Amino acid sequence: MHGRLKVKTTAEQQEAKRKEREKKMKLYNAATSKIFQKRQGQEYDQEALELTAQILSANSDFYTLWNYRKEIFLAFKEKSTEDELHKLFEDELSFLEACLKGNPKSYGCWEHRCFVMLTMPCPDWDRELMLCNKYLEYDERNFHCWDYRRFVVKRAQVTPEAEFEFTTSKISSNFSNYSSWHYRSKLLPLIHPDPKHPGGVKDDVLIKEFELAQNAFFTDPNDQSAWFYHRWLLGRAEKQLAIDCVYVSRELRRVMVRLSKPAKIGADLSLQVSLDGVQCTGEWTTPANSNDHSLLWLFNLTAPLDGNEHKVMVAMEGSSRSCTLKDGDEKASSVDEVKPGTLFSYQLSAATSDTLTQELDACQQLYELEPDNKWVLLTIMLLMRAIDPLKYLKETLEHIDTIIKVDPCRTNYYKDLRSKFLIENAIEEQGLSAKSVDLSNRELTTLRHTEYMCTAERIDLSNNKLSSLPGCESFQCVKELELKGNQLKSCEKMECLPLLEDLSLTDNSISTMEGLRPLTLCSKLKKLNIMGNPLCEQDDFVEELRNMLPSLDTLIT
Amino acid sequence: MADDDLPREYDAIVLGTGLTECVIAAALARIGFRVLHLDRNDYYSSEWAVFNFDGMQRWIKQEQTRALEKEAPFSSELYQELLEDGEVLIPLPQHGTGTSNVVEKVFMKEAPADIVEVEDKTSKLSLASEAAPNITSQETTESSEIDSQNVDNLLQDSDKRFEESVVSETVSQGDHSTQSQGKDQPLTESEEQSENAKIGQEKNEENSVDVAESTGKVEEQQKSDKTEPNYDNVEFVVQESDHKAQGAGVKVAEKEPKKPDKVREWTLSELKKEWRRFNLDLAPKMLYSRGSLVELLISSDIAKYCEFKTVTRILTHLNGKVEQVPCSRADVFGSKAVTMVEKRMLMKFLTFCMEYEKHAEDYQEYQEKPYTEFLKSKKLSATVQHYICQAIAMSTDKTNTIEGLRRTKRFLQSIGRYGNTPFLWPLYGSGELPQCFCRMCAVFGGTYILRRTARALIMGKDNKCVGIIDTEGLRMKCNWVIMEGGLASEALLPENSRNRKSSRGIYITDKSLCTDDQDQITLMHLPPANGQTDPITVMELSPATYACPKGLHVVHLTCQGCNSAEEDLKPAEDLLFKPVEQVEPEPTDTRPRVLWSLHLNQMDNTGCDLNEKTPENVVLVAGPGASLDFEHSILEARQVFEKICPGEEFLPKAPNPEDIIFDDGQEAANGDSGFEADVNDEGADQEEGHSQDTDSEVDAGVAEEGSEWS
Repeated sequence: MHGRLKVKTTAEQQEAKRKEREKKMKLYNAATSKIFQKRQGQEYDQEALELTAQILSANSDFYTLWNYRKEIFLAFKEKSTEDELHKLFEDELSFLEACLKGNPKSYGCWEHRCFVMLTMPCPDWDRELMLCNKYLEYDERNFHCWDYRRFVVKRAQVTPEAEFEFTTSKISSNFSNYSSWHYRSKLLPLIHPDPKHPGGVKDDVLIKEFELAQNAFFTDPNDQSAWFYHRWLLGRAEKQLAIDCVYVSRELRRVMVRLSKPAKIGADLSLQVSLDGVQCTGEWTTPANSNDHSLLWLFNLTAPLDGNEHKVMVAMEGSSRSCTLKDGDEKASSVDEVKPGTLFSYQLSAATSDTLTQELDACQQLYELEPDNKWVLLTIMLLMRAIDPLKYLKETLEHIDTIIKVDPCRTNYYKDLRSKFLIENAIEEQGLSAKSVDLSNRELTTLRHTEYMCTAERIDLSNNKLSSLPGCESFQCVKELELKGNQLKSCEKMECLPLLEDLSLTDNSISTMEGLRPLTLCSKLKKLNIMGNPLCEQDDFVEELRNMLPSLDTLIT
Repeated sequence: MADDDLPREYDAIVLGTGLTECVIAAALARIGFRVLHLDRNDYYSSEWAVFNFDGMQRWIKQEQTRALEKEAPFSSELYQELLEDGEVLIPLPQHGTGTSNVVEKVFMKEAPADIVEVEDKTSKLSLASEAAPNITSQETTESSEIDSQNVDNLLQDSDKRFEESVVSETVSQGDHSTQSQGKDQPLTESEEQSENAKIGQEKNEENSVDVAESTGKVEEQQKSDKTEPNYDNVEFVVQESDHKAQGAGVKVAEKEPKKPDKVREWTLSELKKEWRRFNLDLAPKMLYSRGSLVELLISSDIAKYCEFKTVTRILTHLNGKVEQVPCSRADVFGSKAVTMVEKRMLMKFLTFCMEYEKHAEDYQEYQEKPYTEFLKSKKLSATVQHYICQAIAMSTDKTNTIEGLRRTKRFLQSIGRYGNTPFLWPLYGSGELPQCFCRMCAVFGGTYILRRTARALIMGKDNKCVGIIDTEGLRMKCNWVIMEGGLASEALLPENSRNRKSSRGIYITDKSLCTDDQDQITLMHLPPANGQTDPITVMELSPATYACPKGLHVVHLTCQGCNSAEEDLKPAEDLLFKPVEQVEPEPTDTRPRVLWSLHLNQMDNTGCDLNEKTPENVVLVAGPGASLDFEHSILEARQVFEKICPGEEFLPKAPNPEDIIFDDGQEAANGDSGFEADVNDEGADQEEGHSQDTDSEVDAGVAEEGSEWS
């Protein structure tokens, strides 16, 4: 048809674009090498500013150039008048704003802006706050800008209350905003500190926040941000650091201590051991023979413990615990029994039980409407654990089965969680000083809280689904370890069990001699049952095993 | 351009500048058609027009004059010499109009000093139209009180004023930031609306030809008191609405929350003084953010000629109160009107609606039953049912489930693309949009003449139209004629085309229907009354849309027409506004007071096949109709385009300036003069560089949000 515009073909366009790009590339490279040259020669002049500006406005992620600009500004600061400097920095701020428009998530730009604001005379912090408002309106989830905002707020003397209001307005326009929720969690303890719990938030304010989070997850239960905030609101009670348990073994000449929370001796606290009133010197190690954070710590006494009565005292700043090894006894321990159902709930919440019950009610309501939502299920379980882990066990386990169906991608996580719940309940039920711990037939996939079984002499883990025994090094007193019917491939960490005498590995998955090698260090091991392991199908394995473990009395294959 | 230079041969002649005509004109010009676009009025957009207060006064007079005027008999002898052998003429009515029952009312004192009781100032005019109810072009009643000379004078007067406003526009152009400057200019006496027609010196013919062959001129008419559109955004300019509270309490908050205005007592003369600050639409419509018009504006790049604001809230009338409907995720989250569980139920249902087709088993048994029953079965509370049925699906008790679900989904699909409601409102009025397409048409060589139309169609052999005789007596050849249905003669129209009409009311009020601290753009639906089957649409525009000066609001009511607009809309008015009769309203009555109102009926031919009787190459297109959105118009334009040029692309994006190969041929030189100007425009835009990037990033962000329901 006549009069129709003739337009270049795609090939022609591409060619034109390629040429254009080539030309630009040349210019870019030339400018870059010139800049490097100048920097090498420590030339801090206007030309350098102009050249770097050219490149940076095209590519604001070029860190080196921002650094060069910093050097230039610092050099200018030495020799310029106040007015000149002010103008210079003002220009830099406008330049940065132009760069940020092109690339609002450039680390380099925001970082350089901090530098300019900190370096320039009479910075206008209020204007910066306005800039933050603007950028957070463009993109309320730009965490670079949230970071910068906190930097500015500190200096602009904006009240936490005003900032809190700001997060409210951001959340009301879109609550899928981790940055806003997180900022709230930082501001609340400042605005409404709880006089009872340091770092906590006043109850009445907390209730309002719970409501806000509920509003969000009732509106969209699949949005994680509000659930995470809810989890933060539930909080976590801080335990005082204390010595929960002291155990002395005459034979091993060893003192074992369990702390109330993981700590690193030497760094977080110092522990003194005194034997019959005399302070001992020695090293603390963990059962795994390291000095990382741990609940359990071991101390080897240098002096031998004769058959008489000895009094061992372990002391730390503010508390101590002593334990008397009676005449003729092999061992002694001192531990407080706790009220059943309270040992582990502190990990879940510091909130009052009223609040927790209310939250549970709300979540149950949501669960009726959204039976397939993993967040609701998970939160319900955590609340039940926090309120009464023993009473709610049955329901909790049912929920675990449901959540595995709903969210099969995280099956193993939920199974581990289930194991944790069961182990916690078993410990609560069987008591902290039980000599025998029964954890059999529970479909456990992992071990937790092994530290609380450190004084048990018999531990039954048979017929579970364990493929390893994480934390088994804490079984410091175990003599008889029943592991029948699991999926263990090796005896990893069992070398740390000094008293182990009787080990049953019947029906596991041990297929190599290597897997049993740790047992060579268990000097007391007398009885080993490895029936029903792939290893048993190997020729000559009995002989090999006997050679490897010569002190063994009984070997059942 | 004098008529002598005007080409006499075109591929298509388009009569009327309603949206559909303009979209077709632009689409044809875009692929190289020679297009002549005529409009008998001195303004653009025909029945879709938007006027300032002064322009509205002139339009009212014009309509009322037209309604009374007698059609001069057509004598084909006059044109015999222009015809070739075997050609005959089909005359087209000159005074016909799709508009009827135009009634203006004023409920203000004349001037501040006057101690006149509130009166119906235009009783004379309303009487006139009462005397001739339902006047249509074909049934013009006898009236010789206003002679044609008088009308000419009126028109001429308006021409002059138009020129003056163009001048003032030129002054303020180039300074985008001082948006209000142009508007704030003191008005001279001559600009004031005058009841008496001035007798112009020039002859009407001399300034009636206004050939716009280059891009700039086309938009001048309506833009006279506005700034240039702002082309910052490559894809689509949507001004983020003010409803997001910006760091309330922060001392540097950019947007200070508006303090509730103390209701001011307005007088007519004060209102008239502000005439430039009004943009009153005859046929206001909103765009679905994912509707066909938005997609077309983006795909064709015509979006760069227009600006939008997001509609900020959906209101509903529930238990005697006007309240906001939570319809986006953020609304539901923030709503205090629904309980926690209701929030879940509402969200759950809305999510279901987004893909209801996939869950046929859920609604099968309700398919033909009322939507309300289905909602009940979903255990939604009464409040939530009301929200969904009336405000979101914009349906009634009788709407069936499948239709209700379809409407709900359409509403939800558009949420989140540009804001928390599904709708966009065109800044300066929806009457702006036809002109954006005219501009595109002109850029691609389309010729525009206002105050001129076709006197008759020339029919050749084979019952094909070979051209038109225009109102200046010129013969114009063409292959296609596309015209506004309202302009067609009875001979061309199908019998049922005049049966349907829409009733419209335009109200200037003293405060918002639901006052809060933000400048809101509101959509609301009221249940049908008086034998209607569809809900009544309520739009309320705050000064932020430039529909009216600060302190005022403009409300538009639209419904399908059963009787006169006045009768049809009375129940809705009684519900929404303070009673006008009452001089001292009850202090507890917080409803807005109407200061000025205009009622009108428009022919609604969107529901019928207009082209049953037309010759093969003459296409009639429908007017705005009562619908809320532009869907019908865009669909129709597309269908007409496909009929005329099957297989051609409908309004493809204009090529990049650097990709155009300029021919030496004459055509290019002629047709492209306009384009070149535009090329420069675009070049300038690109130099601004970064600001565009940011906006498009932001836009991407918004678009991402849009997936919230899917």
